[in-house]
Amino acid sequence: MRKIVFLATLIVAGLIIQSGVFPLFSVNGIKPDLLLLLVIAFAVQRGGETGAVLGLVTGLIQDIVFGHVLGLFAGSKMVTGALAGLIGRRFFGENPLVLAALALLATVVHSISLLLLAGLSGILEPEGPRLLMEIVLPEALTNAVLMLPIYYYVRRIVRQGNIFLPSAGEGRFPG
Amino acid sequence: MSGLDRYRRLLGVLFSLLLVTSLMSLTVRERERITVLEQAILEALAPLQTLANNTVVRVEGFFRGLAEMRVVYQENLELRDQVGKLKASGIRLQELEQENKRLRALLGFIERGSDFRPIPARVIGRDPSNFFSTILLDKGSRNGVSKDLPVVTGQGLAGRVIAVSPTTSRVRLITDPASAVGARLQSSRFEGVVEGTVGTRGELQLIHLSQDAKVVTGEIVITSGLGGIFPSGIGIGSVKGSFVTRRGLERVALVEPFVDFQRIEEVMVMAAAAGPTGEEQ
Repeated sequence: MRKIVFLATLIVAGLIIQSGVFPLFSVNGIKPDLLLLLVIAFAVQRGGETGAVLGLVTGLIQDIVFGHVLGLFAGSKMVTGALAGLIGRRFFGENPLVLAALALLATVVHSISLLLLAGLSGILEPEGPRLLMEIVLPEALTNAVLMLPIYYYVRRIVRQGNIFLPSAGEGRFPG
Repeated sequence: MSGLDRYRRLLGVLFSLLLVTSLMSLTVRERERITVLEQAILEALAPLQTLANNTVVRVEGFFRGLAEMRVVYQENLELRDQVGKLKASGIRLQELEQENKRLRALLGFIERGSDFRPIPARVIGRDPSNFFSTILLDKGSRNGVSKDLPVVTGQGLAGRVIAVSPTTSRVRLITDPASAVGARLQSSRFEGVVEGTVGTRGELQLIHLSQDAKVVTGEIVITSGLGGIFPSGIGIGSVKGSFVTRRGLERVALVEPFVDFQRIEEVMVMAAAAGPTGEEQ
């Protein structure tokens, strides 16, 4: 029970920091996606299944609190978490540059899946190239910079074993 | 991986996809009410968000104050000098008259008065994504806030309430890509619809203007009252340019909003005059 509460606290704290703190310090209106970074970090540590489930849960809470179509961020974060887990566990070493590149790539995947879902449900009109330059790439770069401290924090708490994480017994990343 | 594991995972993937698509199809249209579960999550998070927001605003204000102290001091000296000159020449009175006219135009709906009762509210959360623009307020149905009420600031129109829980409400800002507000150009009276856009420019677009509409840079855009949600005469922004669409059928004006949405902290929800009081808390 204590481990589940810790996980819930981490997600809620992430959401509050992301919605209460980051917007006030955004650069040119661009905010990093802390929840996405947490999902990626856990996915790299514990695999695609953990990434997918955490992505689904955190995205759903984000959808609920900020009034998006339910499933919009849940779906995009779930896909990103799953892919980050699969790719991260296969190719990741303890190399900060590779880790930053993973955050960059995962942010692009997250944005594209978000825009696809939003486009399919008629919320946004397709404006791919402009949005890529104006939002997706700056956010991806910001996330890449923030990925390292988030990853090392997540690695520490996963190794301490104080947190509940859904997984199919994939075990910890050996690094 | 055993066959059973593979089967279980496949089921998990299918279930997740089904869950996401079902949720999306059920909630893609705007709902009259949010579910009990959504309400419970909003209510549970509201005190934490209020606390975090208040702390951050104070800390940010303190540091900003420190950083700007020198500039403010310099500005203060210049302003004192300017006020003295204005007093001497009588221009100040003229300035105030002009400002008064402008504010009356922007907040004309308050002048007309008795139809609306402002409920002051603080912003306790901002949309964490870079694609959408919603905010959370610390006032909800207990304070008389209900769905579709307009939300304004001292500068102009901010958005409208799209969901309410007992102590919080969610507002879609006019910069959100899903927002649409009936609007008109204040001088030429041409009418259209102001839409939000995705992106960091934070600009609005006044669409559905006739192709031959005279659009002058700097002209003020106000709500038209058409659509029934926003009263007429609320200031939205000023025109900063226009273009004719590719098919040549209509003109689109680019509008700079009056409200600084990056720094929005307090708003007023415009409730109907005969509702419950806005000062219960």
